[in-house]
Amino acid sequence: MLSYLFRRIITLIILLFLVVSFVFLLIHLIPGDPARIIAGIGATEEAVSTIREEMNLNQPLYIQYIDKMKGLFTGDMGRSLVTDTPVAQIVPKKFGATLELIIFGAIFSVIVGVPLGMIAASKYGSILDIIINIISIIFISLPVFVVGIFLIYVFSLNYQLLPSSGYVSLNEGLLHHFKRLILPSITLGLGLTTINIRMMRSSLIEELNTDYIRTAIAKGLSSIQAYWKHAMKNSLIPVVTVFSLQIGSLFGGSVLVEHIFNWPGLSSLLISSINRRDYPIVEGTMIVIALVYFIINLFVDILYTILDPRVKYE
Amino acid sequence: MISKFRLTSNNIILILTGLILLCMLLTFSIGPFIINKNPTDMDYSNMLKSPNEEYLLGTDNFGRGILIRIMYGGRISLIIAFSSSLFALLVGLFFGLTAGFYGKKLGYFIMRGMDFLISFPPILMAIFVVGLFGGSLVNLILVIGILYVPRIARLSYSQCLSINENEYIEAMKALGAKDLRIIFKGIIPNLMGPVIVQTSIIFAYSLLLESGLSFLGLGVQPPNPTLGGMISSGRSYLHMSIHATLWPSVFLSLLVLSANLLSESLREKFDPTH
Repeated sequence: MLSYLFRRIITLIILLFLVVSFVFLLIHLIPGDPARIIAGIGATEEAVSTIREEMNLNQPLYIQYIDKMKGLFTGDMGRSLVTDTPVAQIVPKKFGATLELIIFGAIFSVIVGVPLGMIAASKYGSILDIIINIISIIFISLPVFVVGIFLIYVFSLNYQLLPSSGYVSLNEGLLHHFKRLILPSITLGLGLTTINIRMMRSSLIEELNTDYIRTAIAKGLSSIQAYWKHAMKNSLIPVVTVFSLQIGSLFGGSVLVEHIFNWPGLSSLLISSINRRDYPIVEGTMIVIALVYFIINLFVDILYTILDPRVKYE
Repeated sequence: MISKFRLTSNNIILILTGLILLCMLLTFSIGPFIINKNPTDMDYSNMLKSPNEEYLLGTDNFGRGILIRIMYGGRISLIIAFSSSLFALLVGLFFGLTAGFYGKKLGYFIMRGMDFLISFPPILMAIFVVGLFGGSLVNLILVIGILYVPRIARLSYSQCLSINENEYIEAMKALGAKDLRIIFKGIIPNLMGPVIVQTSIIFAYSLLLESGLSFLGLGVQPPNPTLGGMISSGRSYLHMSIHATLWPSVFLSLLVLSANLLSESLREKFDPTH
């Protein structure tokens, strides 16, 4: 296990190094003079050369690359071209907002998805089961932004129960903060909810058909006891596994959710800085997202061995 | 061996979703010839209208017909999704089979490259690349295609490794068959089932990815209609009219739903134990 962990961390570092190089190369591959593109149309020669100086563009490519790497190791990721704030200051702030969204989306998907899956499995083949099944396949096909917009339409525009978008920090009021968190986290969690429903259902059905459950019931155990004490425990293993494997994918979904609900997280930072051609921020955001994504996946793999002792990493 | 065709519920779903996809395809390809309108023509006397005789699904904030825009937008979505999943299929098969068949060192490097590509959420990578280089049709197809290459490559690699162990492959080798013949006659026919299922899943994913990108304003650029772009611009007028958002959402969701159902019933067909 230890040597596995060691190797995984080495791989993680290599992957991160590759991502940084890839992002660096791609930004420098943009056709034309990046300084001129950043300066915008109609900028003076002077402004262009200032930016070139600032971004170190006068140096040959490999020296720029080495400088970038040096900067990364000292925690210096450059400064925003628009606001001149250090990247290392902006990015962590936004990261918290994204993480909050992901956590609440995941919680929603468990609270709603797991019980629905249990109901469907215990009423296997009934109309209720079929309805839950149909709903879950429909929701798995709905694009995240369609769900978000229609939640806004129903809950904000029609019934005016919840605010349609925006972010209020915790200091400005707990209630206002959570009111604005509800719709985005439901939108983000809905996809994972359907996955939870389907996993819970199929895994519980399988478990209920095993010999040991039949034996337990034949020996006089009430079906409730057989369900709760035995079947449920074992059927949760694959659910938790798939659930944790999917947590990383919430990162992808958060891009669209943040855009719809004006949520000031990492992905909206990425999009807005791409649109403003603020490349140091783009670079910083991509690197942080990659790092977090890799770490989540590493944790998931370790968690996997704890949940299911049959899995062993060599 | 091809088993006898029976009318099971799975086959009915397969036929139904196939029919829905076919209908969509026909609407998107022939529709524009029947409703002879330009999707970018604006009509300021007819803004945000509800469905009526002239505009079957109403108009958007520029007075452009929603139905005709859905047809053109759906066309772009389908072209991108189809081409990028075909790209992922062909390139993925090439890498997966090369790695699986010629094995060892080359295979190791190819598969580590695939690990790198898959190590990042696709939509973020797509936003990054498309945001830098612009969302032309070719760019979108290439980016989406490349992002899904690893799915096919990994699958065909692992399948190829296990097929390689079979005696009939050994027999082919002993008979002096050339590598290409072994790959095309011995290996590819035996891994096509799961690969086709995976490709249909990629098709659904590409539809979602493309519409997500155009929703963010990074896909094919306006005034060209895209389903994601229509939903995005319609949402600013939700308080006045829902039609500009509703109909493109319905069409897009139907497309993805039928693609999902198709892949699910294909999976049941090729892998009944799943």
